[in-house]
Amino acid sequence: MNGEAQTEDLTILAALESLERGIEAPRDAVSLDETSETLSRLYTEVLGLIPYELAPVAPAAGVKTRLMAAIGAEARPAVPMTATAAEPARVAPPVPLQEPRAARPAAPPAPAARPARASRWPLALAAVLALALLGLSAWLYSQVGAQRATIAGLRHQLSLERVRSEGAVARVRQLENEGFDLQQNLSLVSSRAVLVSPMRPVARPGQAPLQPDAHGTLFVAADHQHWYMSLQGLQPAPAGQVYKLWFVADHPVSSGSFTARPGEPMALSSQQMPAGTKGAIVTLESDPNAPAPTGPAILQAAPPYEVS
Amino acid sequence: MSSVTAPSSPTEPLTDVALLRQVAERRPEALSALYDRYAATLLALAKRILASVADAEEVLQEVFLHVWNNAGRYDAGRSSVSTWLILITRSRAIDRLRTRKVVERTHETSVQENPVEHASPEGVENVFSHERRERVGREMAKLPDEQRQVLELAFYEGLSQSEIAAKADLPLGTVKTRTLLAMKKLRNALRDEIRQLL
Repeated sequence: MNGEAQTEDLTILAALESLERGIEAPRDAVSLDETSETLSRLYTEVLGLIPYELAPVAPAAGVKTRLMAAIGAEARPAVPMTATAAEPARVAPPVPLQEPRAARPAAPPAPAARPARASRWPLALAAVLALALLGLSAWLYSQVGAQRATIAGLRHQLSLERVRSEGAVARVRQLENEGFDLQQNLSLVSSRAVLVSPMRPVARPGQAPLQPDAHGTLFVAADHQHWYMSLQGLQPAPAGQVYKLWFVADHPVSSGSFTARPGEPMALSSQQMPAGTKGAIVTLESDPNAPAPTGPAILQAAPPYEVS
Repeated sequence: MSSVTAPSSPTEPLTDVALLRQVAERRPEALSALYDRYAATLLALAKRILASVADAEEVLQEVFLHVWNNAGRYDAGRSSVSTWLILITRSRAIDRLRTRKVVERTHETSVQENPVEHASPEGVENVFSHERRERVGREMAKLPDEQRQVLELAFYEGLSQSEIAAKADLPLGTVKTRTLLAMKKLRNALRDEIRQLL
């Protein structure tokens, strides 16, 4: 692979990895050369185009309403939304009221004008009161609008908190279930006369065990019914195969199939064990419904010892 | 969605970058216009990830609230506005998907779809976005199934290359090869679209 192709491949993989960090995460400390920078941008846009294959879905009208209500209290006053509106629209300042006397040019009032000046006082007073009332109404209206926006925002937060609390309740239930399982397991291993059998890798004659690192322990309660098995070191089953646990009485009896994940311990348990069980084996089977072991044995219970 | 040339008359719509600049100046009408342009596409993405319109609408609202509070953080050198919005939506939806998976391990949750009729103020699609959807859909459909599968697992389910390999029971090298081939094909096929976004 030549250098350019390798650079492109690495850039693509880096772009996919950056999806996990998010588009707003700080850029990597290592600065890219111009080619890598260009490729990174190109493939970021490719990723941004993928969702356009989907048919658009119109949101419910309430979504936008709630959104605009939530931001309403923080917004600046609306201005015309055009590209040429370089300056915000200016609101004409209110024309200040002028005293009739101050606005008039200095001229000796005629005797006949005195009654006319006197009659303007009620009019001026009424105008002042009307303006004051208008101002008060406008202020109250804006307050009501702000309160509504605040209420809408709080309702939105309340719905978010409800979702969070539901998640927390579910998490509590999960922990309760886990705690109950732990209690059961503890009662099993701490009960009297518990039989303990190590699970050891099976070696065929002349051959090494298939999974020498696999191991585990089988605990059996005094009633010979409740049992708990922990397993570690099992490799993931090959494609199309599963592990099966068999309890061996007069013949092997299946106790279920399971898969294994690398590095993760397994825990199996049940309240039932076939009567007369003398041993336990774990085999690798191609048929999860096999009535009897057909695949290779991986683990086998060693002779038990009693813990009281 | 984004006009490449600067508008020359009062009737031409603002570019995405200009709209976002106005959102950063706390102009709600700018956010409203941005919402009208992208809400349907973003909701489709969130719904694809979450399989629930109700959850997807919540994510949509969170995304635009995030845009309102963080428009100033947009870096034009890193992505177009369209890609920025889409990747933010994807991140939020994937986070919610992962949270939901933890909850669903313990008890059954039923996702009930809201039967309310959804109406868009400007119609769901304009001609421009319809053409883009057709082109992208056509090129995605041309990808071989195995390449499309790994891309969808990575994008819509938030799986890493290793997780895809484990889920699809494939070698990691095979997953990487298919992903690289798919991305390169899309890049070549969608040159015009990418040019419009840059």
